[in-house]
Amino acid sequence: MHNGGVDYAERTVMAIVSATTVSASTLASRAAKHPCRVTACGIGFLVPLKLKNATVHSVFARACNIETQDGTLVTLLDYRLGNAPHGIACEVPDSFAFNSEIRPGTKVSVRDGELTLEQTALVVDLSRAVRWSGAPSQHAVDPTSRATRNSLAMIWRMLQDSSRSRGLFACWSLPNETASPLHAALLRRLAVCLPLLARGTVARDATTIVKALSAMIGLGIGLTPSGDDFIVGYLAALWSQSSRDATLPPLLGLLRAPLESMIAKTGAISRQLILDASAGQFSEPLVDLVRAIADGDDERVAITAARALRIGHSSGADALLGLLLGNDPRAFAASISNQPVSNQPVANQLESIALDA
Amino acid sequence: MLESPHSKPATLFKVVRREYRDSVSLMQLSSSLTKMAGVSQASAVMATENNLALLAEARFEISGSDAGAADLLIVVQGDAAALPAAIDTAVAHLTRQADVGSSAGRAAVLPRSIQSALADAPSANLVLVSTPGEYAGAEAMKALRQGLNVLLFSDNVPEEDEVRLKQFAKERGLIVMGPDCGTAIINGIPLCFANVVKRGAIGVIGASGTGLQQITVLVDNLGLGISQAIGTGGRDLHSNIGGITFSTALSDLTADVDTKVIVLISKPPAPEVAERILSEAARAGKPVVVNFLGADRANISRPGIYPAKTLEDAARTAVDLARGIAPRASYDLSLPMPSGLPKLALEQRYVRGLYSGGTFCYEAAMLLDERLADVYSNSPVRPDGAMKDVWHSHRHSLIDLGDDVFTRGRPHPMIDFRLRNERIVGEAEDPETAVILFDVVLGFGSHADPASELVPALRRAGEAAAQAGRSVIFVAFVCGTDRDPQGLARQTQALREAGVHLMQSNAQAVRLAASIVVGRAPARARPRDVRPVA
Repeated sequence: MHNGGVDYAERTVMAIVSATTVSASTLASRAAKHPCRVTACGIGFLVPLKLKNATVHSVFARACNIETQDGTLVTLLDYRLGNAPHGIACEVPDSFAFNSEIRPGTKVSVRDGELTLEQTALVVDLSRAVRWSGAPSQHAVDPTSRATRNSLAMIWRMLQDSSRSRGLFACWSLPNETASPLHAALLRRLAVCLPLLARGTVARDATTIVKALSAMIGLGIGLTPSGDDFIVGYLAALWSQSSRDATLPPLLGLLRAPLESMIAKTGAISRQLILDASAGQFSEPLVDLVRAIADGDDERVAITAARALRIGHSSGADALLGLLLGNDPRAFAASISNQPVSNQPVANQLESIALDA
Repeated sequence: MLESPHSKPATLFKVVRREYRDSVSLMQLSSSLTKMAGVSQASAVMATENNLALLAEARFEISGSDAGAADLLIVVQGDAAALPAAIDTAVAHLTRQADVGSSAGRAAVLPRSIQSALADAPSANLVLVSTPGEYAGAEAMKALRQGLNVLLFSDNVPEEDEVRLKQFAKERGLIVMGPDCGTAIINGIPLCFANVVKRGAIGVIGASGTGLQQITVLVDNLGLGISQAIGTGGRDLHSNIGGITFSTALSDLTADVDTKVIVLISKPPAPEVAERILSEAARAGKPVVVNFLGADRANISRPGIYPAKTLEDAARTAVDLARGIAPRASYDLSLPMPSGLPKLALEQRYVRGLYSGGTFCYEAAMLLDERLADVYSNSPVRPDGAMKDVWHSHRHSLIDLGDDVFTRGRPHPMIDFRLRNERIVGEAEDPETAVILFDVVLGFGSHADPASELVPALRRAGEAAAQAGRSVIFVAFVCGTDRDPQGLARQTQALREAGVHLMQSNAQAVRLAASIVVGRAPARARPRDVRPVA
């Protein structure tokens, strides 16, 4: 049977069991606004099968992070954000907010295909969710192809158009007279880190790359600081080329241990994202974009890049910046050198910035 | 809270332990602090090692802080006298946000059992159950034992459980709507996937969710209203269930003084069940319109019963009867071909239907199959019309994208348009595609703004065809009302502006699509054999 009622019955959020006076209540709107049962449609490849002694770590309108006993973060997500390696994509209505239902510290358990959050009305049905893998290595990007270069140029233009006041890109956008000392300091650091990272990437030099990444981790604004989002995008670029560039798998192998070590320098949410990225697993918006670049499909690149740019306030923009550098480090270095630099002189101060990991 | 020993410029900071705020909140906080009088610089960042170094480099004096990467660090710089107020403002900002969340949380707490729900609403008489199928039967039975009617939204409820629940309910004068009941309107309240329609004199009983939506919407659009719309679940008219819910609902609507005309909707029922339901309907003492999609209307017709071929026919017949007008034998409106249709290339011969509603897809297959040969579907009306590969269209293809094969790991296509949008572009790239036919379903449960999802895909599809020197014709209908959350007028305007030829119903849309390609593609050799009620 494939009529509407049959097919969407289990796939939509509704009250699990609620009683109401039909003539007087607005059950439909209540159910739509305040579901207590949601269906998960996707489970990330890295989500552990058991959530032992898990509690809610942090909660936002569209996501809820659950911390397991070993410190792993599993995220309940509004499905509209896309799947994630440690994510459980939930079919919640537009108006639903996780932080109206859940508080940090809430105990979480999984039994019989249901994830239950104690002392809340929320139950997540996992029984229909499918495993989702965010491995971009299945979609090989050829950074030397004309199509890829066109795609990267388009993403750069989109960043210029949309990110003048967001994330790392904003550092190059602010006029000298309005840039704060904080911005100037950030710009000085980027002026060292990014060319260093570009050089290390071209040379496939793990030591140089680690040095640059170490100076970027936990750097900048945001819940997941801009530098962390940048690193995730950068790693997505390397992984997306790894199936056609024999130099990359060993390089990624060399980077993994230093990355696992340096994540202690940032917050728990970033730690999980970078760990996933070092294992070659990324969020669905990034994977979709990488796939579109690999296919040389300009229209899809534009759509998926626009979707990625909508992640957080600056997270998407910062990740795209990292993706650009990872795909074409030479062009990236040339591009940033053409950007206006505020609060000169920068060059004299480069050497004074400590970059030791 | 610590103040730096240096007086100019002064720095004040506060560490908020394990505070996780989204980036937008942090930006808003920084921005609002910077605008305060006496504050020259402000920052709200995670206190990571690199950020602490950056702040020091920017001459924010934060020595003595023991903040770590999990903490939020709020730093303000400027006139010493202004800074404490700025920090207080920041703390108030964070507290206010937390309060908004928690108060919403308290309001959102729902009962976790039928018993506690009844404590909140002691006069309730209906329970909506939506649990995994294996548990749904037990929950429904708990409700029935407490004298409550049940709307069973869950699917995968075993057939023997359905019989047991429905028999139990019948013996106690209760009703079980479902399982797999996706649509109902009870006393004017839309439940599950349903539209906001006027209240009125027409009662509808249906084994099809989208069928119920189409009838109730068309009745509303034709100016009348709905007394009750009762979903029965797709299996109710099977032999094993025996139409228990249909029968109960028919009896209820017969007794309901507000209901003047009754409409029954289903795919062809089991013959013996159909016979019994039709006999009961004939004794209702009210006109009963019957749309058993694809069934032989001659086998349905009897005094007081009005067979209808399509969902639109059923709605129009019911409206005419409610207005005291003799219904027509057919409402197959011979609508003129819309002007401005683009010229098609010779090889553009086929209709490609991309449906989110299963019943709409089935009705489309039935209507298209009457006029054209080579109609294939994953919801076929004939066994030889089944698609071999649902991912690739062949000749005329009508696809129910709500089928399980398409929805594994994804929400239903009424909510999530990604798959359909990709398919729209793919069909436009096929040089044999003449018409792309689709439904747009509004109402509770559906996407908040379907046109915003569809229009970019339609534009891409049009551009893909244009690059190959072709034009593709988009034909669709919107199942919705102006009181639906998405707004019918807003949706239709956006779709029309994107070049979609919008019809009032699925039947009209299918007939227009057929008219566009007839003569280009092989026609059916002879009128289809009438189908028995089976």
